[in-house]
Amino acid sequence: MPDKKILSNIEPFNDIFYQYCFYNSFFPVVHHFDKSIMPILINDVIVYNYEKEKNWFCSNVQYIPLKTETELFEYLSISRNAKVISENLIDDAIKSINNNRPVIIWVDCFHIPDRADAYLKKHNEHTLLVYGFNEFNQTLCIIEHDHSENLTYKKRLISFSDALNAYNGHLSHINNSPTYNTYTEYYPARANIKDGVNCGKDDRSILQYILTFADNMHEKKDLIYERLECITAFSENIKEAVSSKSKLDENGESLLKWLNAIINAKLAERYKLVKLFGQDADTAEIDSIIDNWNYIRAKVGRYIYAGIYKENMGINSLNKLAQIKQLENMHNDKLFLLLSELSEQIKSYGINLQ
Amino acid sequence: MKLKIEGSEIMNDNIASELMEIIKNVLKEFKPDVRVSLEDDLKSLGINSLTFIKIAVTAESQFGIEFGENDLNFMKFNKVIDLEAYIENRLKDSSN
Repeated sequence: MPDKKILSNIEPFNDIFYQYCFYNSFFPVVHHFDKSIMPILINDVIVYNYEKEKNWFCSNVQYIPLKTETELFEYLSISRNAKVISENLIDDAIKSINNNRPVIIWVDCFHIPDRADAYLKKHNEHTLLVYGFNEFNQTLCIIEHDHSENLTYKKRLISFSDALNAYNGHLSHINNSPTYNTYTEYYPARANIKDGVNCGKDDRSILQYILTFADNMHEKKDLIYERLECITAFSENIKEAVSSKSKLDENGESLLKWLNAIINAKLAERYKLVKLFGQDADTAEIDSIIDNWNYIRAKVGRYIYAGIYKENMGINSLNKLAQIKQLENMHNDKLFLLLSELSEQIKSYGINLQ
Repeated sequence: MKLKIEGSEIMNDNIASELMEIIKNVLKEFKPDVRVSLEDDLKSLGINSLTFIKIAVTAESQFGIEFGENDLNFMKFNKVIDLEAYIENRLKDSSN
């Protein structure tokens, strides 16, 4: 067995944040196997979400998958060898890399030196992508970012001992009886992994993605429009949260995180449209929606970081939310019309995409 | 080039160096040894939407400007030099 190995063709993904940290670890794996991430992106329909019974800061957007995780992996032709807990993390990871299988592990950022925002400061659940090792230097090659909010994923090294501490720290401080896999190896399901549709690099794939996206969106069409009503519910809460300095002192940080989750979801929607329809994609409404959410975030941030509070913050934010709701309706109306037309055209040309 | 601001003069070089100092100060909590140049990409420096707001509001108070309603937005600036140019323009606008 070699004392070091680094998997090639594996690159950090910094285009967007998608749902949660796992995907920024997983997307490089998908690309490593010469697959497209589009089946994952189009599989989720993103809707607003408001759960009255919960603390409202806990509900903002929801990613609703159409295919199950198992079906999606099957479609991608990627297999997994997973463990709820790895008893020998470093040995397992080395063996996996030697078998050309990248590994994703769940860790606690508290033990990751490159994470200055959390290292020896706070316990944060997170994933690391392991794509190499060097036994001589006692290091793993990982893809990781330097701050929870930063798209600065890059290739880094972590010592065996820090990786082990981070992995065990997750089990001891965050989830001591995990019901999910904290260690997963990935490998191609078939020897010939380059079938056209899954590779996603030809026109047929794009047409197939558009059709699937159209089907998925139409399946959730009613829900997408219904959930726009959440924006009205948000308005009441935001009005309250920014109604005074003391309320903002109390809620500001939570409000910023809440707004970040929404803005990241909207950026993901935009990214999906551009990937499907190219640079000519009509993103006018979604760009304005993002601008309006950004405006509210900037006002809250301005108070938190500079103490600048303006009495009209509440009214201005409500106006922006009203605009967002209107723009969301316009965006969805146009998108559904476009998807219906394109589906008809693709089907009428009789393109066999199966 | 010199800019006239309410009777005082702020040189371009000063705007750049003060801005880079602001960025270093905001980032120092996470990156104590960070080096900043005008050509640096904001994202690569580790600036995100929230640290951008911190940098912008500090710049507002330091330079006596105000970012436009939709300009307090990380995605509108790629590099440090773009932010420097924006501040310069706001200073010019406020001096007119």
